[in-house]
Amino acid sequence: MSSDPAPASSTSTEQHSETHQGLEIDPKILADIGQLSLRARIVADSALAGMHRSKNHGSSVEFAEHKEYSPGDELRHLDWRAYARFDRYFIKRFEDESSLRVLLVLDCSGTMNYPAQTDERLTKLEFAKTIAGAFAFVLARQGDATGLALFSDRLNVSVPARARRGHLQELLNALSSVQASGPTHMGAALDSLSRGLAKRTTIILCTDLLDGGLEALPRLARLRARNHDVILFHVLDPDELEFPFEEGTLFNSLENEDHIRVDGREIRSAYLEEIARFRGQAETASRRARVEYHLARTDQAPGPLIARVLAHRARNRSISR
Amino acid sequence: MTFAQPWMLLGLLGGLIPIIIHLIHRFRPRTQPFPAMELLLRSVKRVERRWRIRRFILLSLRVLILSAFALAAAKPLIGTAPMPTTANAIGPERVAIVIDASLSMRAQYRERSAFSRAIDAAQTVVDELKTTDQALIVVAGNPPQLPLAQPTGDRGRLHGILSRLQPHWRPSLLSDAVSAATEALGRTPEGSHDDSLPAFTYRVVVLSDFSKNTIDGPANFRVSGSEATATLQLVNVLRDIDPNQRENYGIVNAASEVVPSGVSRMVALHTRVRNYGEHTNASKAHQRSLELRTSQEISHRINLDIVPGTMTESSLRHTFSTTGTQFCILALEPDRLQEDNTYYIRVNVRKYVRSLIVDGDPSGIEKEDEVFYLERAHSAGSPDQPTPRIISADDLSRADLHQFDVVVLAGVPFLSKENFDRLVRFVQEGGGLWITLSEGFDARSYKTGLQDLLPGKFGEMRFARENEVYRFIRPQLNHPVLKLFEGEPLSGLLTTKTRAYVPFVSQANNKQQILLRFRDRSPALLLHEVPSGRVALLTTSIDRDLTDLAIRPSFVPLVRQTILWLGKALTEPEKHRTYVGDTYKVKVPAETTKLQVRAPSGRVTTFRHSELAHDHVLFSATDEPGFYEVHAQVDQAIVDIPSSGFAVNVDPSESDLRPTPLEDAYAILRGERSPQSRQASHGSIQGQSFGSFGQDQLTRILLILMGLAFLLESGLTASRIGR
Repeated sequence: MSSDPAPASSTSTEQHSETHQGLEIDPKILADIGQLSLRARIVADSALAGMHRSKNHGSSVEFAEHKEYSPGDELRHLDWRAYARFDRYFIKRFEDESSLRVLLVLDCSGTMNYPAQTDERLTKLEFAKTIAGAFAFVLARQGDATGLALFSDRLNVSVPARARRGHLQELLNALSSVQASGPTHMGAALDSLSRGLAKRTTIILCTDLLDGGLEALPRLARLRARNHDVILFHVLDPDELEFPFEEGTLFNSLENEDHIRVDGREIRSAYLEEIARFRGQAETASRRARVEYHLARTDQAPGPLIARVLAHRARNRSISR
Repeated sequence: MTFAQPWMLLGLLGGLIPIIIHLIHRFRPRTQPFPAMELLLRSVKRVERRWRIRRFILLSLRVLILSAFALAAAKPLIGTAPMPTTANAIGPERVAIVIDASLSMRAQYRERSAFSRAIDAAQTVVDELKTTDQALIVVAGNPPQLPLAQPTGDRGRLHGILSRLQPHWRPSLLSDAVSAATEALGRTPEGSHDDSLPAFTYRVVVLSDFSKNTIDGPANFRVSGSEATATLQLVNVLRDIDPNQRENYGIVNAASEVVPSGVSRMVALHTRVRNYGEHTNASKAHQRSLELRTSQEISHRINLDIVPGTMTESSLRHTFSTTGTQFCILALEPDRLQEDNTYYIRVNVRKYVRSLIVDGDPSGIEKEDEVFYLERAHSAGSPDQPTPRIISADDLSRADLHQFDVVVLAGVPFLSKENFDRLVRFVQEGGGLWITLSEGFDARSYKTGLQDLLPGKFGEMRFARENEVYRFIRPQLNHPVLKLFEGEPLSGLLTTKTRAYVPFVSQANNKQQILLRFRDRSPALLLHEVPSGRVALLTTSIDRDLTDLAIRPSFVPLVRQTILWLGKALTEPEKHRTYVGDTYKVKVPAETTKLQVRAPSGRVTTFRHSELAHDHVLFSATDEPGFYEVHAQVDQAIVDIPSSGFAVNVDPSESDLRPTPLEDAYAILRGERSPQSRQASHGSIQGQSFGSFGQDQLTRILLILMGLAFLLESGLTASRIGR
């Protein structure tokens, strides 16, 4: 939890309705930043950039500090006792009340390890980790309990959700060490997740939905049924969306021994139809499961994406307050 | 199938390039890890079959494009393979050897004529006949000649015939020769019986230079009396000669023209020389001399710049020393074909007409005297004719008429019988007589005196009523005398006002021509030809007593033309060209009992009296170029008639020695292509002989195929990339 109150927003029921576009940072620049914590913080800052400081500091009863009155401050938080003692107006500010639990769930199957590490853009996993880290920063500033879960063929809860000091660093360390490998069994992972979550939790799921992910989406409905909130980041690389391959190419699977030799030009149109259908199905399934769906292209800046999510959530009075 | 340039077939290896590229891509593909394999596999499964077919088509098209290009470059020939001159049939064979004997075969290449090369090739064919084979020889001329009526196996006889053959001077009908050869192949040799004959195969070997106009149409290949057809073998006897070395030039036409404003006896000779080479931007003019030879001596020489593929026109003027018909030779410097560098031309040099004017009514007042007008008309313009001599009618009996060509009786009303007799003799010996009338004209004495010269009947002079005049009508403008009046000048003639004339009823025969008439159809100007001489009759006066003709603008040319005609000096330049082999219409002088035409070689063709019923005979033995003299027998005396002589030249169509591609020749003979559709010779085919399918045709098909394949390939590739 940050001690810097200035950019932080306290719990509020009257969040500004204006949306924040966030600061767009070139993904190539992000890719050059090796340290996840720094990258996540930059993204978090870019996402929160432009957000106005809240005029209302919420209704928490835990006093935090005094602030000298300035025009516009709400008079009901005026500390009359302090006025009596110092003959100056002070406004009472309260600690934010953390009632939110957030679990960052990352797909770390083999398909997320694309493109190769040597490429100039982030892998899908790195991109997902950046999103997760940025959310971790934002949530830590708000004092929300944030945890981390990873899955490939099974679920592995890496960091339980907590809101204590120093938890952010623990979470970021765990994120940094995540490696993509193995097959995907997203259905089983979601089942495990569903069983393991006792309290109401907001789940931020970053996955490419490949290799069975699409079929697992209906299981998110179970999480919703248990009153959990789910935000789905569908992480895809531009190569997957645009298929820029020209010549005869031997395509190898990242999760198994599958391979196929095709001419990129010949197959492109059919593939593009296939990926469009895939995306459509993912969006439809998400909507049916009442899951908030976001396409996350690894060649686009994550800041504005997160800002949009935060703004959307602010309207729904969760995560960002 | 054979190929003109077989080494180009190495290009077929290029057809392997697309396959090699395909295999390289197949065995050494770029490796790419890809996450969405499930989607990719699904896509591939959906379109794989379609794309496999398309890939196969694309690969095939690319191989086809490269292979078609290589095949086209190799210039394929489909059909029978190039055949050697030797027979290669398994069984007994009958061979017809067709030898092109046209003029173009006289052309010299490396000091040997194409014809001698053809004879050598024919000797080789005969030498290599098998003992069971038979052969015959056909000389392609017009018409084709068969020295042997049937095939023979006697090689000695065949060799003997070949050694005696000579080329012609005219084009040959090769298709007729091939048809005649095929027809003759089916004939049974003397002393043989059909049932003893083995089964022959038939072959026609054509030995020719295949110059540009050699092949004229399709030939018949069905052997007479048999269901078999003969195979055709074309042998270009100039196969070792570079087509570019077959450039030739020749005189295609020449014409003479009297120079009206020139000095006397000057004639312009216009010559057209054509160079039958290929015209390119790099073509350079060859300077060659053109000579005019008269009486076996060089009279004139000019230089011409002859550019390949173009026509060069030149004109030279020469003043002849004598008048009348002259035979001249225009000769170019020799080249491959010397025969077309010589052009024989008959030139009519206007002769002097010495005229005697007999003044019938001398007058002290010039303008009342007919002679005044005649003399002025005669001397007007260029003085290319001698001044006429003028005498009175009384002096006629003392005049030596042999010194004159034309006598003009200008308004002489009466002559003695002796004078009439002298005039009749004068005309019968070739002189000209012009009779003009006057008041007081004695019709009876003229009728009696000139009965032999002017058969007909004079009437009484007819006078026009007051305020009326007679006018000339129905002018015969096709006659040389009146030809000048064609067009605008005619009005000057037809507006002549005549007050009186003497009607003359002609005893019409084809020797009389009425050039002008009066309204009642009476002749105004009548011309009459007797065997050697000529007579003209003007039925009115020259002076202004009876007509105003003398002050009309038409008067001067009418008088000059009439006197020139009477003096036989108004001969038209020869316009009709006669080529070797053409039929010439020889003019027969009147009263001719025998006519002889002497060819340049000295051969004489005689026409007897029974063949001379008309004024001309048809002479078709124009077998050689040169001058043909005409001699006529009149009254037992044989006289040379230079004006009937004529010149014969070679057909310029034979001058184009550029080769016809053998495939074109083959296609034309086979009736697969018309002679008009033959393409410009490129000289690329120098093959010895040629089979059945046109090289150009096949190459064109291959190129079209390549183009279509290319378009299809482009379409498929574009659709693959574009989608």
